[in-house]
Amino acid sequence: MIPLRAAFYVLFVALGAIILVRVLAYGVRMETLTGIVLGGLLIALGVYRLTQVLRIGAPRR
Amino acid sequence: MSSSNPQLRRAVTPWGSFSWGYSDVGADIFIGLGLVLAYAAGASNFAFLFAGLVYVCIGLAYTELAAAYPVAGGGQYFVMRGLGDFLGFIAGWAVLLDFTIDITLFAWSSVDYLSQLAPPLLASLHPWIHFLVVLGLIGLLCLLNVIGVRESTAFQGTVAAVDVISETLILCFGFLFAFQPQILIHTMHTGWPSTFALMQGTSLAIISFVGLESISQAAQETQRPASVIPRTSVVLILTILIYAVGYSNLALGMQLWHPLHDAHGHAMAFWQLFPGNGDNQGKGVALLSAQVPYYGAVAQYYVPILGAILLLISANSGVFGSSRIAYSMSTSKLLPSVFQRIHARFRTPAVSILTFCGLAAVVLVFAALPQLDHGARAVYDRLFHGEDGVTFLGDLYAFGAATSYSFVFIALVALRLADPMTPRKFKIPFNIPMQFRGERVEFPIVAVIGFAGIFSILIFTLITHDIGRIAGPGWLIVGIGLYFLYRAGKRLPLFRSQAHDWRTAQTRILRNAGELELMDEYHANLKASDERRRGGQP
Repeated sequence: MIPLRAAFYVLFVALGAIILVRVLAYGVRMETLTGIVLGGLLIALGVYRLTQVLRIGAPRR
Repeated sequence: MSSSNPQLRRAVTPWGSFSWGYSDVGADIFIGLGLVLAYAAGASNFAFLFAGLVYVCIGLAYTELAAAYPVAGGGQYFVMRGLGDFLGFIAGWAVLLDFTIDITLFAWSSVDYLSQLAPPLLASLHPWIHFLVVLGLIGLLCLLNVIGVRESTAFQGTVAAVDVISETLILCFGFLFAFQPQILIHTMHTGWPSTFALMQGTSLAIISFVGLESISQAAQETQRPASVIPRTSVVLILTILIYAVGYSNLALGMQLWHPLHDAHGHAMAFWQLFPGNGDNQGKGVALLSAQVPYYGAVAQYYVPILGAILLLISANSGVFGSSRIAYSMSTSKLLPSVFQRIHARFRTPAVSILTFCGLAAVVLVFAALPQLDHGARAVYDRLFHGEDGVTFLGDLYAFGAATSYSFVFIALVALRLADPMTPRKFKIPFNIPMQFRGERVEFPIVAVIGFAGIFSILIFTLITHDIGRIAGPGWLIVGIGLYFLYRAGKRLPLFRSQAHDWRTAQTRILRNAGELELMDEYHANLKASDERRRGGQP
C-alpha cells in the first residue's frame, strides 16, 4: 500500500513540475500567476505527503 | 428517545476525519465551478485563487481552534468562548443557515449531476420530478442520520478515496493533453468580466471552500483530536485548493476535445456554457470531465454518478453538522434543551436532525418555486432579477459562511489573548509575541489577513446578490429574536454571557478527547500562571 501511495504523490510532484515549466514558458505575468501557484501547490502537497508516507513506511523496512 | 445524558461516541478515525471534511469541502467544487464560470467568466481562476487564499487562512484558524477545543460546536463554540454568548449565538446561527442550505443545495446539485445521464431529471424540463427527487433525498438523509454516524462515515471514506483518485486523473489528463497556456491567456483577455460580475463570482467562489467546519464538528467524535485534526486539515486544505485552482485554469485554458457551437453554429469557449443556464451551472465538473481527452471517454459516464454521490454525502454532512451545532448550542443554553436530546438506541441528536431537515425542505420549496409556478417566477424576476434556484441557494450559502468565518477570525484573536493557557498542538504561523494582562501571548497576523479577506467577500455578497442581501440578514434577525425570547424565558442575560467555568470545561474536553498529556500541560500552565499572579501581588 505504501509504494502505491508514494507513487500517487510522486504523480502530484511530476504534474506540478510540468505545469510550472509550461506556464513559465510564457513568463511571469498576471495571466500565468494562477498556473504558477497551481504548480507550486501540487509540488508542495506531493512532497509533504511523500515525507509522511515514507516516514510511516521506514520502520517497516 | 432519552433525555438522560449519553455522550456522542468517538467513532471517527483519522481517515474518517479527513473524509468528513473532504466529502463536504471536496464536493463544493462540483457546484462552485459552474456558478463561478457563469459570473466571473475569464477571471474565474482569479476568483478561485482569491477565495482560496482566504480559505487557507480559515482552514488554519479552524485547525488551531479545533485541535485546542475539540468539541462538536466548531465555529460557534470558538466564538462563544472567545467573544461571549450573544456573538456565539450569532455565529452559530449563521453556521446553522449554512448547513441547512448545504442540505438543500447539495441534494439539488446531486440531482443535477444525475440529470447528465438521466435527462428526465433536468430541472428546466421536468421541474416537478426534479423537486420531488430532491425532497426524497432530504428525507432519506434525515433517516440515515437518525440511525447513526459510523455507517455513513465508512461509506464517506470509500467515496472520498475514489473521488480523490478521479479528480487527480482528470487534472493529469487535462493538463497533459488539453491545457494550452496560450488559450488561457487569450480567454482571460477576451472573457474578463466587469468588476460587478467579478465580485459576484468571487463571492460565489467561497462556496467552493465551505466545510472545514465538519472537521471541527467531527472533533468531538474523533479519536485523539489534537493530533489527528492538524494532520488531516493541512492535507485537506491543500488538496481542495489544488482542485479548485486546477479546474478553473483547465476550464479557461483547455483545447476542447468536442468543439462546442452555439445555436448559430459559432464556436464557443467552455465557460460560455454556463451564463444564464441553471442546468449547466449545477454540474460544471461533469461537463468539464467530458472534455478531457482520452480519459473523458470514461469520465463522462462515471463522473456524473460520482459527483451525485459525493454531493449527496456533502448534503449528509450538512445534516450531521447542523444537528451537532444545535446540540452544542443547546448544551451552552443558546438554544432550548430539546436540541440536546439524544436517541436512546442510536445515540444521535434526533430532534436536531429532524428540525434542520425540515427547514431544508422549506428552503427547497422557496428555491424551486420559480420553476414550479409561473406566477412565482414573475415575482422572483421582479424582486430578485430572476436569480434561479441554484444561485438562490448559493447566495445564502456564501452569506452564512462569510458571516460565521468573520466571527471565527475575531474569536481566534480573542482566545489567543484571553486563553494562552490552553495548549495548542498546532499554531498558525506568523505571530507577533507580546504581553497581555501579564501573560506572554502571540498575536496571529494571519487572522487579521483572513478577516480582511472574508469580510470583503461578505461585502461582495451583500452588494451583488439580491436574495442574499435580504434573506441572509433576515435569517439573523429572526434568530436573534428567538434567542431573546428563549433567554428571557430562562431568565438568562440577553447580551452578556452567563457564568462559565472555562477551566473545568477545558479539563473535561481534553479528558473526554483522550488528550491526557495536553490536560496535564494545561494544568501545569494554569498553576504557573496562578503562581505568577500571586508572586506579582504586594
